[in-house]
Amino acid sequence: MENIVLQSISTFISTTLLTGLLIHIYIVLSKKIGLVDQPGNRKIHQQSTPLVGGLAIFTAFTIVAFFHSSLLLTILIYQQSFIALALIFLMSIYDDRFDLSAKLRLLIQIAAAFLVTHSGVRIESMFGLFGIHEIPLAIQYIITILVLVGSTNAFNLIDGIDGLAGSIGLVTTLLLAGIALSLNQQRIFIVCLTLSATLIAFLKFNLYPAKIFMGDAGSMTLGFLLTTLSIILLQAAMQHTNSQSIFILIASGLLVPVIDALRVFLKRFSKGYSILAADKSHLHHLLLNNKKNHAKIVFSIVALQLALMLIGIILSAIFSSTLVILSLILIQVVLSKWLMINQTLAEWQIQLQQNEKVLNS
Amino acid sequence: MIPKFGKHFSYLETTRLSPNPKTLNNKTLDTNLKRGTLLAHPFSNTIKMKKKNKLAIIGTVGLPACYGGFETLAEHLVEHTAKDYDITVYCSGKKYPKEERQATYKGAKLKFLPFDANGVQSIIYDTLSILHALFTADVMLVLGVAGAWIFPFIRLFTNKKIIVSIDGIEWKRDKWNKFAKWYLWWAESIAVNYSHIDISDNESIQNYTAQRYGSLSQIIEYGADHTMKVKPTVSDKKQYPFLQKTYAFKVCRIEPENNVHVILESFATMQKYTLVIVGNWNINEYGRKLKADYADYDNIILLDPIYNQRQLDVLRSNAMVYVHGHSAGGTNPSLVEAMYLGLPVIAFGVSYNRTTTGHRALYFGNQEELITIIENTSVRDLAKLGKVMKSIADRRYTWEIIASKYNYLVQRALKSKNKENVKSKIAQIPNTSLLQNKVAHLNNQKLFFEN
Repeated sequence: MENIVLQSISTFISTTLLTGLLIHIYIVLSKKIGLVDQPGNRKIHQQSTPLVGGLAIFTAFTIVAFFHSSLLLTILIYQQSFIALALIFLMSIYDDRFDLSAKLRLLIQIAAAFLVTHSGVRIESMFGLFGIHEIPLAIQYIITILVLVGSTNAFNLIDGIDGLAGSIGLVTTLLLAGIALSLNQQRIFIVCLTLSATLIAFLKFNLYPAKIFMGDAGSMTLGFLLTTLSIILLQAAMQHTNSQSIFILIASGLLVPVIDALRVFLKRFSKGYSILAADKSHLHHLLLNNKKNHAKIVFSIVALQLALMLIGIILSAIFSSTLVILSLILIQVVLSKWLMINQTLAEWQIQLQQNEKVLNS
Repeated sequence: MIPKFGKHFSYLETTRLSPNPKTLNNKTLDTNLKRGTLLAHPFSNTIKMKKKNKLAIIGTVGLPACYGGFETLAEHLVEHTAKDYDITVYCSGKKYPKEERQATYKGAKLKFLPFDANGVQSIIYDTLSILHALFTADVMLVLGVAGAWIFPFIRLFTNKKIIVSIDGIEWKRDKWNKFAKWYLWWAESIAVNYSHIDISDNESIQNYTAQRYGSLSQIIEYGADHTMKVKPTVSDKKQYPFLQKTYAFKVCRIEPENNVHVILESFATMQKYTLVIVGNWNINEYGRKLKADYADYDNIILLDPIYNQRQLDVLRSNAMVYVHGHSAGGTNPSLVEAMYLGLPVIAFGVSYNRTTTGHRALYFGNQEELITIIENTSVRDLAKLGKVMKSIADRRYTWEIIASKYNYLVQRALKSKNKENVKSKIAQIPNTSLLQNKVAHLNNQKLFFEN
């Protein structure tokens, strides 16, 4: 037992240090190859910032895997999933530097998701959502691919403020680590441990004011990896007595980015715009109107995520899965609506002040 | 080449003012009836009796009017149009004790509800009035947006017509708390989108509804000819000694948005000009503080509220100049009344006041500008200004004109189905059709509210 604890701690610390080292190296390299994010358009940051976060996180992860036999074994067991992960990673690095069209990106994401699904990592049950438990194979494929692609893009969309995607990712990783431990999934636990170590090192550079960004490489790959790990854990949880609670816990961990993205798509669609149109209506944008402090905003959103997880666990003891998930979604939507109304009122107040101001006669 | 737009129009409307063929027929019927001739209509053998349409006025405190602008409006509306419609006015039982309630007033039926017409109870008050009016009226004139949530159901399930009057832009007033603002914001959108006609009392508010909803509001202001110039008697002069001098006058609710503090500060620095302000100083902390601060100035006289019309008119009509500090609320009845009394007006330079005074009054934006205007305007200029204000008021602000505008709107509500869009019909056609017919430039009109 002690051995494992010691081993975990040493892995953790060494991964963190390695990631930090790699970030320093990559910052220097990034300026040479042009992997920087220039300010402009609707972007919030003022200076050009290296987009090396994702690169650092996952190269560190790979290097640690070579030295850690258990981690290497895990990767070999789930090799198709990690090949798909590498595919997403390479695609998004290329996209960060030279832009790819949205359709091509979607296609590659669906291909990667299909690879994962086909290898056996599938959502095999709805755990009582809408009364459904086991689902037929074809539906398993569809739902898994949908969830993977949707969740990956949702994580990409929340990467809008210094430290946000990293913090949400970290909380989710720790959650999955805890669940893996309780389900006796040692291998997944070690993956989550290593990932959280890299994220902590990354956040040190990414919190406000940020010196690096994670870019599409980081957020997409992170989202894909976290969703894949969640599905693996859900599969492991199916035989467990408390499977419904575990399902709700995992779902509420991933809920914040996904519901935020869906809400924004719905709003754009109802207004008549394309759902990929750019506007400032994500949760972090709405909070940005009230407080300008990025750290406080990240804190608020992470607090929301933790609160939803807590409420989810408490409610799952009393109500069915459907009601719990629906009420969690409702809470988040109501909060977002509240912020949005305040923003709209403030905008119209400014418009009215302009109307009322007339030239002095 | 004739543009192929026919499929976009259900029927062709030539101009906004062209008469609907249906109304033409009714007119012929009425005139024939008046001459007492029997109608040989091909589709009926009976004489059509002229039936009065039924109108309900909802949302006011009640009649007889003793509260505010809406109530005065209701009273004069009833006075002028009771002969054309069967009017029912819904009143608040809280402000009219049982002994004082009348069953009818100037030809209109009065119905009393046990709720407050203002504040949070107004939601229930308006809703119940509307529900009752479904039985007593064909057209509902709703003043205020508190009960607007029910409009979609009324349009869906009944064929009653709704005319709503948006009372200024309520949701931005600082006197409401956050939840009230949200409700008013939402209720206003329901009111404008689901009523047959909506009324603003000012051009600037029409601009706002055009920007926000894309539909055209009708503008109807207020009348002022219930006020009159009163010569002060000896007892008046004894009660108010300043009547013998020249003084500036202001009557308003004592609220920060009416800039009372700005006006008081300006006059405090000009000892030779007298200022008289009538208002409710004790209703809030702002008023109490001002009354205490300016009690010692000889040239500033702060009076408590005066509800007697004659007494107020005596003070108002003998003033040298009227100072109007309102910065919100559309057309203010107090300003309109001052104009009708022929007073020269110095008003706060917000767009609402400018449109009310026809851009012809004197405007200030802050204390310095007010002092400059007062010190540099001659008595002769003020007299000329007063005549100009009176001419504007005679043209726009008499109850006969206002009532006839409402009459027209009620008639229009009975006949029309949809509200006018801000863009002309041609500009609403999809761009692809316009492009096909090579007239896409019609899509680039500058709308009336765009500068």
